[in-house]
Amino acid sequence: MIKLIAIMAFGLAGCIHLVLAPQHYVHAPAHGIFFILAGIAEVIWAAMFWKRPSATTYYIGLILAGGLLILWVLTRFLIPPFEHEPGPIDAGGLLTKMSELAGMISLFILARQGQIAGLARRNTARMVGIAIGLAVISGIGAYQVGMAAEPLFPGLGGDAENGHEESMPGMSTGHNLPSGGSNTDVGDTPVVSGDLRIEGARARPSTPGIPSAVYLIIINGGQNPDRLTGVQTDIATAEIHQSQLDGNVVKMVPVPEGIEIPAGGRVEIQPGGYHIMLVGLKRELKPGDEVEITLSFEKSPSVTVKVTVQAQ
Amino acid sequence: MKITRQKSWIYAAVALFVVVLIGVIIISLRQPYTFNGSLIVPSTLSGNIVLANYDGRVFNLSEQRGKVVLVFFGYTTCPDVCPTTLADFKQIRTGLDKKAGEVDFVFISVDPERDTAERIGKYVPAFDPTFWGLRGSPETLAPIFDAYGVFVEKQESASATGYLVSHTARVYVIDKSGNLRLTFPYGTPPDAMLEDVSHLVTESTN
Repeated sequence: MIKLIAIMAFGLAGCIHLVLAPQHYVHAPAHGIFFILAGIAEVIWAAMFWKRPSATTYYIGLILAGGLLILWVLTRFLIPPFEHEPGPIDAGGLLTKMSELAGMISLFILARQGQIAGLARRNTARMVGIAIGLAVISGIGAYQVGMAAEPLFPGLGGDAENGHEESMPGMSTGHNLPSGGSNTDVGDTPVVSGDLRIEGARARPSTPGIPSAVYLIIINGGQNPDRLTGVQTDIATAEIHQSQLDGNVVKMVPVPEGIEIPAGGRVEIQPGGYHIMLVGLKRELKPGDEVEITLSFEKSPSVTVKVTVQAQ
Repeated sequence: MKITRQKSWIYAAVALFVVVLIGVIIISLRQPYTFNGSLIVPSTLSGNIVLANYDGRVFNLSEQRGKVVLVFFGYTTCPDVCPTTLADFKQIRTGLDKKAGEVDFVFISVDPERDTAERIGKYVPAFDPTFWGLRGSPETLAPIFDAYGVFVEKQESASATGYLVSHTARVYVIDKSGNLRLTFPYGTPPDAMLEDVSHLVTESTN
């Protein structure tokens, strides 16, 4: 019965390691590889112990589960090898460690009951001491080996700032659209004029007296540069402006000369950069409303674009 | 007799592991929090702000102890950066969920000439009705701008709006004890701000 608990505990811990390996591989390949090795080792151990619970398997089990347990504990407050910050205490980790702990305790009880062949019977204090000693040595040893290996395999490390993309102020276009998603799925079909394609046109809700802003992207698929020279609409006076960040100070600058659209390039008229300001609105712009604006270019023909007002 | 002793050893070993495990969990959770925003060290008592809200209520910062206060300086003729920040505020408020009531979101106009209470009343509550939209005379605003190091400069322009205003676009964060603790530069992702604000909300005042 207790033998079965030990086998199941090791098997479970091994399986969780294997299941979690891919997700760890993504943040640091070395961790993924370590999880696969640890998982396989625990599963193989469970099989070995099932076949014949010998003294050797007993000690290997203590080294394996105890070492992984200590290593986990260590890396909750020390920076793990191939990583930049201590790991989180999550449900997966706790479950694995609990089952390794359960495995170790079952092993220990089996040993006390003399059910492990060839294991010399010692007094309990010494057995506990040996078990904890093996766990600590193997855990700290694994940590040291990992730290030593880290500089040798730089490619296996984690990314410096996981998920913390360096975003240009304001160029992070999605973040002020909690409901909207990205610019390309606004739902409108792109408008084409010559080599130019206009996408993701949207406006901020506003009311007469308060200016609104229109955002869109112009993509130039052609061989020649073009220029957005002006914007007209029936509902307001439209001006091209640019927000410029100078240190902490933001400055809005009219851009009467328009915006150059490089050959094969694109112009992003997005929050924090260029915007088409609608001054003197004649009516309220509510989320879901559609307005039409006409863009004029230096070379391509003028084109009328439907702009959706999006909640912010 | 022997079995009892044996068992007590096992219990002792289990207890030891559990104690170590709990200890580690506590140590890990007590790690000092690293802020995403720019920390002001040492934090200083924030300059007081007493200004009228668009609806006539008076906002007094010194009465907001026990709350975290986020302050942004802007103006209603600003269709790009200011709404982006207010939309970020809205996102933070939504993210705070049940703790939203413990945070004040404050917009202070840097353009008292054009920003009447009526205008601010059209602009700020469109984002969230709980947001404060404050205005004051140039004389009442000057010491506040000074205290927070806010730069404000009118620029004449050919725009149909008339003049434009250059202004500091940082978000200022005042903690529950009334200290100016953090600022967020423009462009700080709202999630990063939410994380810091959530942390400040859970802090105990002393």
